[in-house]
Amino acid sequence: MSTDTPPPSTARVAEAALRPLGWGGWLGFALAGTGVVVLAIAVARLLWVGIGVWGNNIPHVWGFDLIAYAWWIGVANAASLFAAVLVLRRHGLRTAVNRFAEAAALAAVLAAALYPILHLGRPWLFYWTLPYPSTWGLWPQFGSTLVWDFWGISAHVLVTSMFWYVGLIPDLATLRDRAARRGRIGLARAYGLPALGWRGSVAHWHRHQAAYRMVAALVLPLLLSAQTVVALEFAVTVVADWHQARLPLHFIATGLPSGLGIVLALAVALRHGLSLREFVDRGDMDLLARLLAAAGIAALLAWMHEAGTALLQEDGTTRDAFLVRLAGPAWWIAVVMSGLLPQLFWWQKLRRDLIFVPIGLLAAAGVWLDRWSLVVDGVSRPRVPFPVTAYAPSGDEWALLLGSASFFAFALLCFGRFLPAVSMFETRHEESEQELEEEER
Amino acid sequence: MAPLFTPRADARLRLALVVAALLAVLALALGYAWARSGSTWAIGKPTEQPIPFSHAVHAGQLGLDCGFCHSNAARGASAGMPSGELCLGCHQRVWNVTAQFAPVQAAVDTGMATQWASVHRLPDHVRFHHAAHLAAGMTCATCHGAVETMPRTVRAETLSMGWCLDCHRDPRSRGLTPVGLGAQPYVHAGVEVPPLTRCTVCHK
Amino acid sequence: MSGGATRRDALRVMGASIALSALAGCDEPDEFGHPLHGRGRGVASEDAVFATTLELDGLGRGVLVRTRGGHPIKVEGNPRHPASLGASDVFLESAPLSLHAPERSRQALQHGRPAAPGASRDAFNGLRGEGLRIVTGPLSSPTLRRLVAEALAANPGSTWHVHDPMADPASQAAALAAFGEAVEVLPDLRAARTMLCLGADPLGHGPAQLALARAWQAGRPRLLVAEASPSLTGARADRRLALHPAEFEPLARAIATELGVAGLVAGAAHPAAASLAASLREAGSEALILTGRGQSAAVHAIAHAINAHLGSRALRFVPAPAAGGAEMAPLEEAMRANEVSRLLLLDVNPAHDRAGFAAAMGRVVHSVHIAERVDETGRVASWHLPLNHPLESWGDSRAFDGTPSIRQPVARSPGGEVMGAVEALLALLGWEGTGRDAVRETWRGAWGEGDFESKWEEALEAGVAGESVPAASLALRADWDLPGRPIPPGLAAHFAPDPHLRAGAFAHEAWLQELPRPLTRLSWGNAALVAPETAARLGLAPGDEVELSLGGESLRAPVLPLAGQAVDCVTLPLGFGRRAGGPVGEGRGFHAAALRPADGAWVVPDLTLRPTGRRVALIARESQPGLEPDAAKVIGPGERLPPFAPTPSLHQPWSYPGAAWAMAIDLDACIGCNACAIACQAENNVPVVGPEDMARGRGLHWLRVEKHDRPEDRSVFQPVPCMHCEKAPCEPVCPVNATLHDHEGLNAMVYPRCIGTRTCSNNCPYKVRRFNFEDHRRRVDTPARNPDVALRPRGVMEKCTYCTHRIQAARAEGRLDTVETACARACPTRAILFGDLNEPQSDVARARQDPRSYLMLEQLGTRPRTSYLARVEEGGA
Repeated sequence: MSTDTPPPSTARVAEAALRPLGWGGWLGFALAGTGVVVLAIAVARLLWVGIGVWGNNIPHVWGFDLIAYAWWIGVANAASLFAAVLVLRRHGLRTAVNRFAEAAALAAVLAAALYPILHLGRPWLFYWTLPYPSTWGLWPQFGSTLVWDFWGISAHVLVTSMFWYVGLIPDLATLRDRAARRGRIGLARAYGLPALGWRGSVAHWHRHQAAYRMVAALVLPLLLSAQTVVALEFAVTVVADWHQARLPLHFIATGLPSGLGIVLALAVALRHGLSLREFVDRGDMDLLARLLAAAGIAALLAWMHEAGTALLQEDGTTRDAFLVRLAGPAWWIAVVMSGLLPQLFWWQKLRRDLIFVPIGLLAAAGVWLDRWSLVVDGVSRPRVPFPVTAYAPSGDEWALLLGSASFFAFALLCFGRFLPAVSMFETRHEESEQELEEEER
Repeated sequence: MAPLFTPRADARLRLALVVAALLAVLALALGYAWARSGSTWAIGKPTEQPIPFSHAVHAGQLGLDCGFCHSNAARGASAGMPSGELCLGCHQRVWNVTAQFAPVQAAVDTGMATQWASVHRLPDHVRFHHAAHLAAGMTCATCHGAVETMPRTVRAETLSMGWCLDCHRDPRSRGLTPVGLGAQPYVHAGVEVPPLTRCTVCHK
Repeated sequence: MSGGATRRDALRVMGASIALSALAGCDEPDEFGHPLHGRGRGVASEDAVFATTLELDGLGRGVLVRTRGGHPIKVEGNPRHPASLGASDVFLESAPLSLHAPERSRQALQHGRPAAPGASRDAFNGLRGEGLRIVTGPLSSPTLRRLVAEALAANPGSTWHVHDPMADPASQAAALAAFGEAVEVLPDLRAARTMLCLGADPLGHGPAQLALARAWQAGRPRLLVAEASPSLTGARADRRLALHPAEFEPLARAIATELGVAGLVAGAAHPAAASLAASLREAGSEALILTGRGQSAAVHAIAHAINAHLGSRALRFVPAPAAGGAEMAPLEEAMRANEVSRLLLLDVNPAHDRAGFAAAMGRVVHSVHIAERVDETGRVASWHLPLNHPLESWGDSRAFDGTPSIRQPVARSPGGEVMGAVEALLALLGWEGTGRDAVRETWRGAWGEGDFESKWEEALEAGVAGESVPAASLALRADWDLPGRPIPPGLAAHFAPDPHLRAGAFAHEAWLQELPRPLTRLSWGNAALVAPETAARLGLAPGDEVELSLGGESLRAPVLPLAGQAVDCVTLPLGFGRRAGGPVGEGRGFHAAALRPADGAWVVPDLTLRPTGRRVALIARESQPGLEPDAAKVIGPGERLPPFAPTPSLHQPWSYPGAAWAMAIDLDACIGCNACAIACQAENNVPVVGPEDMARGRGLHWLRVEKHDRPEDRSVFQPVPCMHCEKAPCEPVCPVNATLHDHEGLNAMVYPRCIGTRTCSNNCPYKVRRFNFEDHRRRVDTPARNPDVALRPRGVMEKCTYCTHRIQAARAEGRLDTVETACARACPTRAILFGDLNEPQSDVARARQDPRSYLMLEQLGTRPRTSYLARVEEGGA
């Protein structure tokens, strides 16, 4: 197979990356860009004035910061878990969605990576969690889950970006060649540099497949570990509702609907926004929607396990702490939005683009509320009497949340604009497989 | 179609990657050295003082004992600065350049202290006790250097936390005999911990 | 609250100007006090301690003031003074803070404009002459009383009026009726076995609180309390009754009838009387009845009669140290009739405390107001002259039992036209000499010329200048009863001093404004306290605004339903609603004094209350119950708690070869007075966060005093400092080793290493860690800060350190066996013990062996170093 003569069917994909932006694209960029500016302002205010601009207090020392962190990690994990499984299982769906699932995962990891630093009381001293030879003669406390968290999030960023990049190399080469053929030498060089001299030789393909699958295999344990580290930040404390060995599993299971919900909504956006209906076809969407429904079942099981263990165990303190969470609306809404709502997708009639977007996004938002229930409602009743003031997020926190969502959208728009949104080489691979089958017949 | 990249582009890319890695290592090494260099800690930089006082004259040429002026060093937390009366007690007879002693005279008249600029000021969160250090056998020069050679008093050591800890980890190896708290070894997890390295020893 | 931002700005500005004030001015060297040790002056970082006196309601309490470089940084009780006994209260502890308040007056004002330097002479010149009216607070000071008498003698037709918003006219009337003399009852709680308090609050804040609380702790009489609104004494009672103000007289009469007191005008029966009377009769001469503010003269008189009837040995009578002076009502009338042309107001603020005073005072041509700040009265006066802070000037005082003491200055006066109260009267008299001379003159007269100097030196050093006044032996008059003016039932207004602001004299103290009140838990404001039943009847929730009308006046106030409040009794805390006097106090709460009648009555019937439908954001720091029960344990008499059974731990044990610091807090001794909390704030430079952040739950108090509800609406108070766990959950979760274990068992917090992840706070089961959401350093960095405690920047955690700096100082001075934390030092009942667990004879080690000893959340295995001693109650847990 030669990249010099691509099959005509992938041209549309590359076209999407090379053609000028339409008004919809400009609008998307404008909205997301405004959100990124809001994010910059919120971050600047946070650094200048301090955590005081948020609504935190004692005992609610964590709020939107840790909710968003845990949530974005969940989105990233579910999305890249999805992509990695597709690559490893050589599933037909990977053609369509794994590229943008990878992109979404990377964008979500970047959004999540904002928080471990920004949530600090003195963010500019974040590097004290690194082991480096300081003039104080002090080292980080390696037993602290927050130090593990640093390694966890670093490894996460590294592996997710590698996964995304390695898969992208052949397509970058295609874009390079197309641009070169049109005489846009500067653009061709820009694509050519990260394409690392890809020529599509058999040796290239062989190594690429090995590398790609190896990184995908690396993603699996990493995702488990990343979610586990986040969960351990809660589970190792003496907070009655958090101190549970089941928490890592809970984070992984309930994280799935968030990432799949976002991927589902993004797939609809791709189909219509970039006119890629043939590449992400109805079959793909059906499969994805049923996956989300299955993830909802996994999350429902996690919640049932949570309620079961909390309500049935002998330790009355844990039970009471969980009852405090049940008294708030967040837990119930989470179960409904992320667990029950996706079950609608078992009905074929409901698997329609118009329904995918709201339910996908609601499933993701439901997971956010589950994290709220844990981070906020979980500490609102300390073990000892205490004058607790309810946590009320401030405008700065909303700005940061919407800003990081805009950042996510902005990053995805950039991917969609400058890089192939659907894996061309996988598509072609699929096409050639079909041709082979036809020849055999 | 003309090739986009020259045949040597690949080699150049590899070289660039290696150079970037080396630069990163170099930056870390430079940072390590900068954090420990004397100039970062203002070693040898004189400070603007109300009076051009010379330790070289008083402690060096005249051979005055440190305790003559800093009489509280052996007794209390702060070494103490000499009172205006003490300065003028001698300087009414020798080297009585009135203009130079105006700040001291003003301090004596108002009952306030002369506003010397501190050369060895430690941060607010540090608790330092002069007498405890002298009792352990340290000399003034251990921290303050050879002030008798300094026409303008300057810092001789970094006074960084690591520098303090160098001694606090094992004072005996420097010929010092810790007293009281520092003499009580204690064990945690089977390891003997130097007692003088506990946070509350030096931090408020 | 509206306008919050501007108030916060004002607090910030206050911080900035504080730093400047330290640099201003100095006094003559010989006008300075004599420190007990150390040189007080000139040399920065030099320590000194002075024995001096501070007053509350005109009565002295001896204090020791620690200064650094000439600036007072901490006030502690003087063990040799009978009104302190080494303990302190919230008012004493906060005294150094107001020294540097930016709103303090520094220059003379004429009609609100700065007067030319030296013009204050004109102010005094204008006062001299016929018909001078002098208004002071209650005066116990021998020197001030002498100089007032001289001034009255020098100016014919002049009158001395005493303005005391805390006075209780009914009690004075009853003393006159019963004994024919203005005497005060000094209860002896050591000698009492059973004590019945009818509205009396001996354990509550007041000039004798420290002595009474110490004696109560030593004698532990059985406490029977009947009161209209919850008080600290009621919280601690063995039996408590919530009574409407109208019910007290019938109850008292019924008890007296039961006991067969002679000379009594009989009344109706009362259901509670029989058992109370039986308890009193059983205790015989060891029984005691105390009456307090809000009772009619008849109730006070009946109490005198019952005490006399039982032959109670648990009290004595002393002449009131601050008695004397005319009332204020005639002055007000005279002013309204334009009969007053010369008026001197010395350190009083009647324009705030008395509803019609400001209008009447506006008619006086020449009024001179001398005070520390331009308050409501200062705004109306034609002249305002700046007064020294009590810690800056010479004076003298008498304690509640008459014990005299000298007040010596421990800080430099700002200088200029700022004068002390003694100097002000000297200037009025036109006499030469300093305040110190005048005080010496007084005592030279008392002691004679002979060994005056040695007595003077001794008085300054001891902080006590003589003995208490001998008790008067008085016989009850036959016609002691004062029937005829009973309080009618129905909705009644019950005025009460705010526990922290009194009638408003402490409204400028930010520490006192911010600290939640012991019972209402209100911070930065007051509320009309109603019974939950009354609130339910009117459909009122906490913070609902009501219009209160009384005798033609009306005002709006938020309500707070309070358990233990008598039905149909609305308590209106004084001290708030200030319109002048500085940004800290202005505009907070509602002005209850505006409703108070001119005769200074504490209970007024016929109150009407109408909900307005609006809401006011109250800052009530009410605790919710914890997940685990038994934070505060209550046991029956003689009951024993199981000894500690350490749970196994995977964490390696530490060895403590030297001291092992620990604290034991006796819930049975704690009266909830908050002295420990303010002492901690003063000692550790704990910032004031302001009302907005208090409402958001960001208060920084290192030591919080929890209130646990008990039957009969009593309370158990529980001071909660850091537990200094041996297996501290906060330590292993910190990523940067900013909170660590110490070789003596302290859980150390290293502020400069903290990066503010706040994980430690999540992992603290006791919720004692506090976070700096903002940078408060500028506001705290005044000359009154403790230089031994570092200031904390924005974004770091902080918490109780067991006063580690005090431990280190004691180590340097070789007196480790006498270390006391600031909270333990302040406690009037010695409920907080601190010491070395490795020393088996230490108080704290012995407290750990007590059968009442327990650890909070012991089941978590944190092994706290702070242990508690359970409260003992009749009937048990």
